[in-house]
Amino acid sequence: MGGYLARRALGALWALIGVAIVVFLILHLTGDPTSVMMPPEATKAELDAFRHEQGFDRPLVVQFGTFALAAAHGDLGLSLRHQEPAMRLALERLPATVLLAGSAFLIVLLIGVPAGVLSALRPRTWIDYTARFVALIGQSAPTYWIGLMLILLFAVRLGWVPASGIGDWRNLVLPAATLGFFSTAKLMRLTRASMLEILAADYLRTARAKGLTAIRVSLGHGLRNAWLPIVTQLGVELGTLLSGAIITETVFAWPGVGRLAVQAVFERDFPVVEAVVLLAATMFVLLNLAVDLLYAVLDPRIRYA
Amino acid sequence: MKRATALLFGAALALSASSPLAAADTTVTISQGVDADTLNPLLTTITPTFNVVQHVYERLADFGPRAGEYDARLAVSWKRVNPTTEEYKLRHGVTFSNGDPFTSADVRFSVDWIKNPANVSKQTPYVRDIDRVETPDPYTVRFVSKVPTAIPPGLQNPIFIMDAKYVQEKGNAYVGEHPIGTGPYVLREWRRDDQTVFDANPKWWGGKPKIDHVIFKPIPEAGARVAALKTGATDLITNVPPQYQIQLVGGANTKLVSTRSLRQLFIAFNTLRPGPQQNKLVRQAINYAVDVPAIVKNVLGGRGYELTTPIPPNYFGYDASVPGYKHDVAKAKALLAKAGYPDGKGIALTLNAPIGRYNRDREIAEAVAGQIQAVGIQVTVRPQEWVSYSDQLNRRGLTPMYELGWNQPSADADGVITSLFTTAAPLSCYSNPEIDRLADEARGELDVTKRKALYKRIATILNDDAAWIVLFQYEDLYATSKRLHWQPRGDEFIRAYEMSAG
Amino acid sequence: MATALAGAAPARDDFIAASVHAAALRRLARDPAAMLGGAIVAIVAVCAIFAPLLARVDPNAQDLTATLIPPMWIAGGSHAHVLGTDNLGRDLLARIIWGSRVSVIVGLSVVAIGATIGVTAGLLAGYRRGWVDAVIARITDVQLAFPLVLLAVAIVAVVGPGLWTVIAAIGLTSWVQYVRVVRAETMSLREREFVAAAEAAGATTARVIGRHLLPNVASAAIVLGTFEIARAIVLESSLSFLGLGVPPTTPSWGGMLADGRQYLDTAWWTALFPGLAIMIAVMGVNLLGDGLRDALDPGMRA
Repeated sequence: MGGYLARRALGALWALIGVAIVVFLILHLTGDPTSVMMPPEATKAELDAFRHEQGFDRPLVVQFGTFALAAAHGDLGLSLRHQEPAMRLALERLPATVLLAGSAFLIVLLIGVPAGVLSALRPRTWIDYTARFVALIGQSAPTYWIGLMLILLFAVRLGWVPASGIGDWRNLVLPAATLGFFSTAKLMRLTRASMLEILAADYLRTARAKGLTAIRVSLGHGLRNAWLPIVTQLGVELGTLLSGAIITETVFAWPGVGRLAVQAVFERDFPVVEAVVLLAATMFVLLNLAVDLLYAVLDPRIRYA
Repeated sequence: MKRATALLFGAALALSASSPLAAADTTVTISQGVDADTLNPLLTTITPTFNVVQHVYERLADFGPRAGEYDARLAVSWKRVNPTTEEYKLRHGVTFSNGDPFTSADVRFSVDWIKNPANVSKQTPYVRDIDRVETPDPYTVRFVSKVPTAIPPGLQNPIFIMDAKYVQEKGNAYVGEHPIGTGPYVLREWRRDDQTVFDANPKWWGGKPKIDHVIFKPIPEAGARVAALKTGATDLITNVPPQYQIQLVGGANTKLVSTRSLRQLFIAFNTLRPGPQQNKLVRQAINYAVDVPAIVKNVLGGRGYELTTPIPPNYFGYDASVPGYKHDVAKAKALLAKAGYPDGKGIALTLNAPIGRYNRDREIAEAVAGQIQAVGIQVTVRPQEWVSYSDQLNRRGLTPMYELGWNQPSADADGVITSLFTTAAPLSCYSNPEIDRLADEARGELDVTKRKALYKRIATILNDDAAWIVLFQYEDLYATSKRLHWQPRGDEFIRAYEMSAG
Repeated sequence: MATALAGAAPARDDFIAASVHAAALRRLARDPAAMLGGAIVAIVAVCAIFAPLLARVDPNAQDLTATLIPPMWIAGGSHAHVLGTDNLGRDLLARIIWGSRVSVIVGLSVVAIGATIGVTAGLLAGYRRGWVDAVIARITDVQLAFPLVLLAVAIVAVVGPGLWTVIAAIGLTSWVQYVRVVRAETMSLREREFVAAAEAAGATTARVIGRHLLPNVASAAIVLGTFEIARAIVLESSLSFLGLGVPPTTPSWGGMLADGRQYLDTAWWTALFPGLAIMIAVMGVNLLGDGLRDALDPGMRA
């Protein structure tokens, strides 16, 4: 087990290094952001001074070396736009994203899983069909469109909640619902499918017991066996939520890491893009590691070569 | 499950602790589309950032209501000592909000700070003409330039003044988030992209401001801004798109305020690159093909002012007698034929436009393209998002036509002409040695009448040469709550100390 | 995406495979949801192919005196514009019909590229093991560590928007999905007798993979492919929404949503209908995918 953990951790480290190389290359190979960062009236001398100051005129390998060394210490340079440390900017915004993703995750947990269970217990009833239809919509409609429609209905027409920004719990409702919709739908369908499989096997045996007892038995037995893929999928969905936050944050002007990333990409603010990508990659990798470990712990039958 | 909910609750509560201030004080909330990118006033050139920092920091003088007029701030008077030296007498008894006295040393420090390449300031063009700063005594400052300029360098783009001692002690990163200035407000807190809160500075030299608290709450979406105004969550919103006019004019708690902007939108020809746009007759034909009043009416809903030359009427250097191009399809076709393109056959042009950078920029480009096509010329609009657009712009790579906007807060023709029409300017895709010569002369001409005549000459040449398709100036739309009394400015600056509420 | 449990799919030897697929098709035909999905997909395909015939007006024809006209059934609407017009006076229905082209092209191209690369990589990794597997696994890990949306955003923002850039960017985020599934399947399959038999008969790697392994991972790949089409369509529209999609002059559903966003409360139809189009199209693909998965292997749970 220890050996497995060590191997996975090493793999995670390699992955991070790979990510750092890739993001650096993508950003730097297509030119430097000098012309974007400087005001329109700048002369060529001023542009060159800026370029030199930032080190953009040094060979790519040297730039990467400097970047890598500093990055290993968590220093990703100053944001070109804000002139503040890039990693600090990213970390400042992280709680907002975590709050959003966390709230969406709660929705997935509190609505998605129970809905799936309910649907499995009452197959072919209107509850089942409604739930499955809503889940289908959730998995088909683009997240940002759902966000826009929710804004239209609840913020603009009804005025129940604000349309954007962070504030109190009212600001959290729409973004969390938007972000969580897709994952809730996915978990609901997965839970339902898993439960149905288990129940199909047990149904014949418990068919004679009537009423509540049967339900309780099948619920307890079914869920216990179904929960393995459900739990691991939950772990995967958390990653999806963090990733999907990018779009949701943009639609709702939520001051999180995702929105910072999009703005930075648009503004060619390299240090911030690098900081966000590395931060996100670290989180992803740790999450995947945790999910793999969870899988191994929960199901000792699965062996890893 | 319980713990997570508690955590969620706690987090939500913590967030909501950002709430309102004492009810007896007046508070005004302002919502622009973006947040300030830093609270260091000498770093960037973005107007929304200026709007935030100018509540804490001040300049020697602010642009006044009309071109060439200034309001005294940290300087009480100024005069030209010799053609290359301007002397400013500074206000006595001014202190920074941390108690440090304001002196000429702070002025020199601020200029040097911008010039220092290590600080990566984007305001370097503002102090480019200042060769050195002299401080003969604590309340006198002299800006010395290499060559005489009509507008003294200290007044072309006045810079904010920082506290030399404080900045040297604390360093740039700290100062960028903890501003200390001489202005009417002090910073209470800044939560990026959430809100910035200012409290009135009772020790301000101008007396205690009427508005006790100013909150900047950025809201990127125009629709969301309008909604926030209607619900009273904010008191002032910027950049109101025309489609919201009706609801705001008649709103229960809202009113629409507007002003003629100093910002104009134009379409330039890239005459440095090969193509039919290098032919003057083609450019003139295209100018006749475009119907600016129709665009203002249909695309801007009437909220715009047609221009006849690149120097607008609210700028120094404007001359009403310089003729522009009136919409005339027959003339356009005749010129095209004369140029060798009867009915526009043989010309295919691309009109480059940014998306979302200026109000309805793309729609305007499409409209202009449509009008040019009506005389037979093939035009394709190529919209791009701003960053790649600006990238190509700086490389003079947008060809043969591109759309751009220009705002010159000093309302002086020099800024427009030098930055957009001289050969050396990175943004200029036009080159005419006579214009270069005249522009240099006008920049240094101290006699007002002679200077005006020079700009008249420049405008006449530019129009005859059809260097641009001159379009219009915007009418900037803002909306405020009914209790707020405020007049918008053409240079887009918003100052809470010019407001009153209630 | 969840992985298919390797043991759940019984492998078939080649000559039985054909009849299995025929049986699958029959099952598919009897599934009403899948047939609905298929019908929707067919309609979208028809729109894409016959767009010039179906749309009565030019989707790019703008009329600045007729902007933001509401749909036909609302006061102020007109019969000339069934679903209304957008902020440049372009007919919404025509643009939606033409927009299907971008979605179809992107969806199919992304799957073609992603599946080709991903399935090949998965087969090689699962069959050859050793350093080939290690390298592919490393690359996959790096790819998966990247937030996919951000990767696509970064690529397009930096290279510049365009149809093929978008396809490449989305394709790059797509191929990894196949690798996981196919690799797992291949690893379990290679222990079967028919593979050993083929190897003993002197078949080359390519032959073993092509003739014996590929048909058996095909089901998983096909099902995954349908869901990837759906994901690609949504991701393309998201990129267009952010302003990073196909050039704004090409009608695309995501781009239409981006344009309509600022008119959400004053001209809601410009945002509602393109979104509905995406949703319905993707629903169709998802239903079809569900049906395929149930038909090809009722045991799969992915």
